[in-house]
Amino acid sequence: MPNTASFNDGKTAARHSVGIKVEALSLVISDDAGHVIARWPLGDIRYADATRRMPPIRLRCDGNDARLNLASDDDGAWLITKCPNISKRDAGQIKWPTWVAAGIFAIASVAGIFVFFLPAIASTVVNLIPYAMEQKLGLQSRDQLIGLAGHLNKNDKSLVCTSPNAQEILDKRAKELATVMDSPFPITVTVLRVPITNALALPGGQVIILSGLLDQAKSGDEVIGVLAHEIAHVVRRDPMQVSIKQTGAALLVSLLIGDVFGGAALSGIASSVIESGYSRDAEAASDFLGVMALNQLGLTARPLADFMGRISQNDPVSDFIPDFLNTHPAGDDRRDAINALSQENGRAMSGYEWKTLKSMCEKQG
Amino acid sequence: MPMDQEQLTTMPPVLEFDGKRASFVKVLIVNGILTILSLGIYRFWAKTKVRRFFWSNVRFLDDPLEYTGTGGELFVGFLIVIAILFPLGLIYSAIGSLVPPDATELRVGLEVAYYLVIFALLQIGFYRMWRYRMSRTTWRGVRFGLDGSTWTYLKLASGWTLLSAITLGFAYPWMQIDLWRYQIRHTRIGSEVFKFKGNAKDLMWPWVTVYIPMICIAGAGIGIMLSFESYADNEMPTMIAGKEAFVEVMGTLIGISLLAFFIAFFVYQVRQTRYQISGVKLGIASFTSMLPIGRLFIFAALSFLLMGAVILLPFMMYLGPDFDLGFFPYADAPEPATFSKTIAPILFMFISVVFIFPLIWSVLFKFEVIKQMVITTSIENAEVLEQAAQSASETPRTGEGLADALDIGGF
Repeated sequence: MPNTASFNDGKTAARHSVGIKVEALSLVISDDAGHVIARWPLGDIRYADATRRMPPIRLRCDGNDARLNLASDDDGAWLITKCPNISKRDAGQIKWPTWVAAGIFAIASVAGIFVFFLPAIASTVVNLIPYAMEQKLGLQSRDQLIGLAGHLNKNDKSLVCTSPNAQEILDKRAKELATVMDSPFPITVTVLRVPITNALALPGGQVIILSGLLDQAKSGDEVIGVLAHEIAHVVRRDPMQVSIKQTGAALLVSLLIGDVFGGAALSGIASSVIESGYSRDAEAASDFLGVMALNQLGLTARPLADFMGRISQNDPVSDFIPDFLNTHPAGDDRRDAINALSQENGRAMSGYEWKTLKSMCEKQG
Repeated sequence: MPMDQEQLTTMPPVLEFDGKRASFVKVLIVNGILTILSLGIYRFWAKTKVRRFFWSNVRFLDDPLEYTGTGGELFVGFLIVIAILFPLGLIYSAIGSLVPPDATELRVGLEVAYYLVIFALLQIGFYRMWRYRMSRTTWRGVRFGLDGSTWTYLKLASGWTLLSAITLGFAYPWMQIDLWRYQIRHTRIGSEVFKFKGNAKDLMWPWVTVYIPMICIAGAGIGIMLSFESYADNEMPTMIAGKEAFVEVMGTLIGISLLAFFIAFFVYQVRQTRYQISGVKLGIASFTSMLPIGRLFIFAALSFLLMGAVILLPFMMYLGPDFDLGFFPYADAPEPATFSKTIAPILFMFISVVFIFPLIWSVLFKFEVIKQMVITTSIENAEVLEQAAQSASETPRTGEGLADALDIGGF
């Protein structure tokens, strides 16, 4: 008996004192009386715990519950050099290329859910939502938005720009555009005193224009062009689809992060970044629908094209707006497409009306 | 066979812990980096490494425990649960969006149903997690196991939770002990089943020290609420005249009670754990725990102090008093917001919450709890466990799934 060790036979937790020796490519384990208890092929011997490599060394045989414990002063070096697969996984276990493939597949399917599945779900589910409910939702999200903007603008309590004359100009054109586009919703235009060049459509016919857009616009035609584009989104129910997508994405992210309670806020942010704004197709379709409506009303869409081109050029403020708030990443392509579609030359408002509109958000006194 | 004194002194301790904090920190840091780089996917393998660390550092009668689970099993179990939970969640959201916003009762009902489902999933997840962990734990080659039915456990947990709610929390120790009894009585090593002897009456007085501050907080809270009027929409409630002194007293009471509650609950939790371990039997072997309250309290307090320092110090030193969170820099900032004032603090907070806080908590507190639980537990007649024979019971094939999706179980 060259060495002493202890052995657990895998049937009970008893500890047997054994002797071990290597014989013809096998480790022979025998009890104190010299009877052979087990014969382990050297190629099948593994560390029982791969992370623990200091004495006492514990070994096992591939697929077997039995354990061999070398005495605590034996580092097992004499034996381990003879076992070629000591650190390998058991035969029949899944190998790492399979895991890599499974991992890539898992990531691809999660990406697939975001890119294909959620939009598909959203465009189906949106048809199930009654118009009346979308209108109520829109009203709620408008109030929330005003509340949020109000928090950011603490010094300025009169956030909603109220100028009856200017509002009348906007409402008149909004009504015409909605009628031409067969909008299922009456359009409510709200102008907010927020210095960002942007406008957005909310579910249920709510359109928000931020005062930064009035500041940047050079004519009333530009503003009405943007309005037409946003009303097109409303008619297509794009905002509703986005909020459905965001709900799904938030759910998925919170499941993936593995937290249904604390991670809710985090997943909310993450999902609105992932499912940000409209797809390029939705933007192009809304450009088309908007310009067609302007044509029908005899109004020119070229100022809209100019405006798109202008604001897409490095706006210092918009650099800091997260992409998901900036729904108009306009490019030269869109400008050219709008120009090509525009057929009429009518102006949306007189010079006096434009002055009224432009000064809508200037503080009185 | 009576043991003489000499034999007793040369006997090795029954349970020993060999883990070193330094090697644990290394495991956690590598895990953290890989988890962030893999967008969270690595966490299953990370958990497995942490468990291997603890299991293999616990020695019982001189032989270490072995954790035989793999990250792959956990990952597959998680994917299966996601495949079930995601459609369920979508259906819930769809129903939620179909309910009109002004149908308050329907909305409340839906909310209640949501939390009931989450509650049930938590219980099921916990029991299945224990089953998986036991099936992947071996000692001297003999597997642990958990029998019993997840549904019975869920029914038991639901009944006790209801009773706890009705008694305003007084039945809590009874719930804890009864659930523990079910869990332990279905836990086995090989084919030897554990038993639990204990009565929650023994925990009643420790619980009363938690219960009194709890009732004070609730009472004072109701008192303050009644001192205000006008709960109309979007309107700040105003204080009823002449109640100022009362509200101030109640506020102080809440503050003191909260502090008392946290300390008492911590002490109670340690006592309960001690009691739970001390009632465990296996044949003639019986467990005794001397889990130290003061030591664990100091480690918990140290962890919180360190976390506070981590989050506060950089802000005070680097950003100065005019620190502005700057999520929306355009709101009232004519000057452009800079990286150091916008992104950097958010990034720092994110890293703190995701990486540094769990690191501090695990290394200082969790490590100490596990270490103390091991070294302060003694087992009389421990040799009985050597007779445990391997059981042929089936073991679960995939990992904890639900527990991973719901983030329960600690590590």
